[in-house]
Amino acid sequence: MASSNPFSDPLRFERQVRPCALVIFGANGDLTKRKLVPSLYRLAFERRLPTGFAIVGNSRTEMSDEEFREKMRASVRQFLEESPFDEDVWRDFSRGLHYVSGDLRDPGCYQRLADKLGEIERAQLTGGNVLFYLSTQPSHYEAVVEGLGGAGLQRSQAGGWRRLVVEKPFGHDLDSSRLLDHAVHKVFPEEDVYRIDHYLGKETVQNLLAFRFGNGIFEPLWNRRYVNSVQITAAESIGVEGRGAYYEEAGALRDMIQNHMLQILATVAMEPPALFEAAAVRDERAKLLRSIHVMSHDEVAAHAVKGQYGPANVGGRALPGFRQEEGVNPQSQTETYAAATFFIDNWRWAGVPFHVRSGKRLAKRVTDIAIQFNAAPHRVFSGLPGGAGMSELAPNLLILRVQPEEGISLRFLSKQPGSGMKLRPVSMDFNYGSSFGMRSPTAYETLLVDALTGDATLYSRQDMVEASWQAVMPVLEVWGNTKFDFPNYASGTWGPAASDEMLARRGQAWRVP
Amino acid sequence: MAAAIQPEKILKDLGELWVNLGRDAGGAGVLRACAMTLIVITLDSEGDAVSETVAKLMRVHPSRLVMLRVKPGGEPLLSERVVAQCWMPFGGRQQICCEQVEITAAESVLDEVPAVVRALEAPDLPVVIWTRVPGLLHSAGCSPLLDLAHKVIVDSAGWPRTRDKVRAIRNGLRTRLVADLEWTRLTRWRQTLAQEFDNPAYLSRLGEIGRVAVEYDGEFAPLRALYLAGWLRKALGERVAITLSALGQASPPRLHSVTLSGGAMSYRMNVEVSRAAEMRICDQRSAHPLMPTLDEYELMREELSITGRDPAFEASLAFAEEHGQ
Ligand SMILES: NC(=O)c1ccc[n+]([C@@H]2O[C@H](COP(=O)([O-])OP(=O)(O)OC[C@H]3O[C@@H](n4cnc5c(N)ncnc54)[C@H](OP(=O)(O)O)[C@@H]3O)[C@@H](O)[C@H]2O)c1
Repeated sequence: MASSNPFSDPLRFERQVRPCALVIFGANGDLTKRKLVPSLYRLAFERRLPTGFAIVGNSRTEMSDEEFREKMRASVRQFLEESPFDEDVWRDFSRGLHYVSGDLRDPGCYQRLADKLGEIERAQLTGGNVLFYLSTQPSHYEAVVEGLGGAGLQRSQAGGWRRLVVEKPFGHDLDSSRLLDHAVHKVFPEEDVYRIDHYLGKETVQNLLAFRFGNGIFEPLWNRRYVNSVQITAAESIGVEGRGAYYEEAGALRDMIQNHMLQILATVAMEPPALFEAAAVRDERAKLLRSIHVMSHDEVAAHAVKGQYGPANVGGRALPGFRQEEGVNPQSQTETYAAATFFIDNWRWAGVPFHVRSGKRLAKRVTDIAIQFNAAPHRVFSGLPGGAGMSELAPNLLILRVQPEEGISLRFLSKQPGSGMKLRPVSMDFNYGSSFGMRSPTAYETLLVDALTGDATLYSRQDMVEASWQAVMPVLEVWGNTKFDFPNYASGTWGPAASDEMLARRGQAWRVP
Repeated sequence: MAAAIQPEKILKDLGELWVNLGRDAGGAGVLRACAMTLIVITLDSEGDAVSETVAKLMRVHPSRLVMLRVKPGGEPLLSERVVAQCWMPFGGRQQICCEQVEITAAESVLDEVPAVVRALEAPDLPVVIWTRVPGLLHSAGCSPLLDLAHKVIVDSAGWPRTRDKVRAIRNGLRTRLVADLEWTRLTRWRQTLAQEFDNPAYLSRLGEIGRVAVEYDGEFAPLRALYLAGWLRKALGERVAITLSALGQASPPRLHSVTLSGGAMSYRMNVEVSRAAEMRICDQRSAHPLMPTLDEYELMREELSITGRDPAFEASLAFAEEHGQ
């Protein structure tokens, strides 16, 4: 019998999810209600989920299917972004929502889950396809994987696929990430493991691949000959917002730089893959991450800056410092700001600094990547008033904006209208969201469809996870053994002075994004 | 002789428009977005409604828009005006603008229009023509205009007889891309059917389907019915019997329903009546109630995003030419 669907039309049809079930561990949690179920609902709204798509939630709180549906309905209504809530779509979608309560450390919980999945398989003809999603506390990950293995749920009797999505963090250092990986691999082979990094699901990060590898004019400039430095910023204006206890353990380096920002860096700097398919793209990303120069302990002080915000009054509002937040040690040494300069040990990038920074309570919420090009080799206009030094002061910049407004800008010098040769920088903008004024899928929508259809291109692989841990380990080790005089930056600023000094020592400065 | 239109003047007006927009925007500046030249040909009486549709389209497919409003018969007349379609992106300060040139022309002077439009094309970008005026595709006077286009979009809904029109579309396809919104209207229906057979349990029983019955209301099979039948012929092969039959009365004719059946399986799409699809296999039943009716904006939005050939459409078109009346 034919194995491919003769009715499919990839030119016009959006990629469709085939019949399957999704099991969410931690279904009573924050991520499920804010992101996962609203994204799944949106996919249903766009008719991208098949009839018979089933979701099984698990956590300890006792709930009936009906109660779970009501809870999820309220979450979808609250957290749905830029979409209408449609009662008919919800009715169809919510028929597929089920709930199995139980403690995931209890083997009986997996038996009940297996029974439920069996029922769904028979009723909805899912062919045994199941995606397990770890959206619970990371300390439970190993227990879940072991439980699934113990109940034989990692394999389908019907020949369907079984996959596992793991939410970050993937360990809290290199050793623990290896231990977690070891535990996961005892049950699931690597090709069935999807480590989610939602930054990679953002449209602009994907657009970066289109920009670099779909156009012929940028790639020749994309190297040490023309690029002076790269700055990657992920700034938040909010503080830890009730997640103080979690953040106290994590800190900015672990929470943002080790994963999201190094993945962005790898996307900016990787070599072109031969094909746009999962293995090829991930191989190149992994290769780049392995080429990041691993600092010696002695290099850390000059290449990394740690910061923590203090209390402040912003716009007439008194904001607590990090140490005053709930769940945070009043003597906390955890960083709410981290900046580091990475170098890449390969021919393309040798000597080009990649400055990366991320922090909370900074001046505004913005994530962007700035490629700064070298100044023109000869200063033709330097003798003229208004021309002197302009090309050094305003070097060509290519800005790739990730959020809030996704887009690309190129800054270059232009003659000011009028007599004389006065130059001034101007910006040429491409605004992604508005040039194509349609709604972009959220990162979770993209990534959920990818995992449900077996496309791992935008997911991390264990070798990438280890390479990025390796890159930040010396910083974590040195910071762990040093006492810092915190707080060292005020809310609403661009971070500690030491960070500006770090760049100033190279004759550079952070941009104001 | 009609009132003259000078392309240089239109281009100059466009230039001034940008300067004024920039000045009005204060420091924030305006962005010009353009991915193609979109030429929309419409009857003057429908021009205002179409303007609203294209204003929405500009946000998804930013273009230099040339709207040609055709006045049937009457006085020879040519006139033009230049406007901008601007909007603020979500939360942004900067306005995004697309240019719109409106030309009003009497049918009798349409042959004077191509020279004007040629000068107005946005350089180095594709030209797409959407003609809402039936018959224009095969009028000799319009062929220089159509020659400018990389893609021509027509809407055969309500066309009188079909066969010669299909031939015109197929002839057009030799030199450029041609699309028909009657085909675009089928996407969601086709997708719903395809989605059912994404299920391996159903796909493995596809061989049971032996008959396809396409029913329509009216004197002859409308193109939409023929397209769907052609697409099913391609997907299911020659072993399946496909019948096209008239059910009730309607003018213009319309696609009523399609049923695929055989063995213990049936799939039915009630296109005009309840706008619902239903799949039955043995005692399993799945239903897709109330498929939405797409308006011109949604149809054009899909069609403008197809920039290359559409092999599925071309195969359906060949079938339509063979079986159309
Ligand atoms: N929240 C976000 O925006 C976000 C963003 C990125 C990544 N993540 C990651 O996603 C994961 C989930 O985050 P979250 O914020 O959703 O966590 P959370 O709000 O703490 O939710 C975890 C859920 O797991 C359930 N649970 C806890 N212990 C359990 C046990 N022994 N057995 C069964 N269920 C148990 C709890 O529900 P019961 O009390 O009912 O058992 C709880 O609601 C974490 O790994 C986090 O790092 C979250």
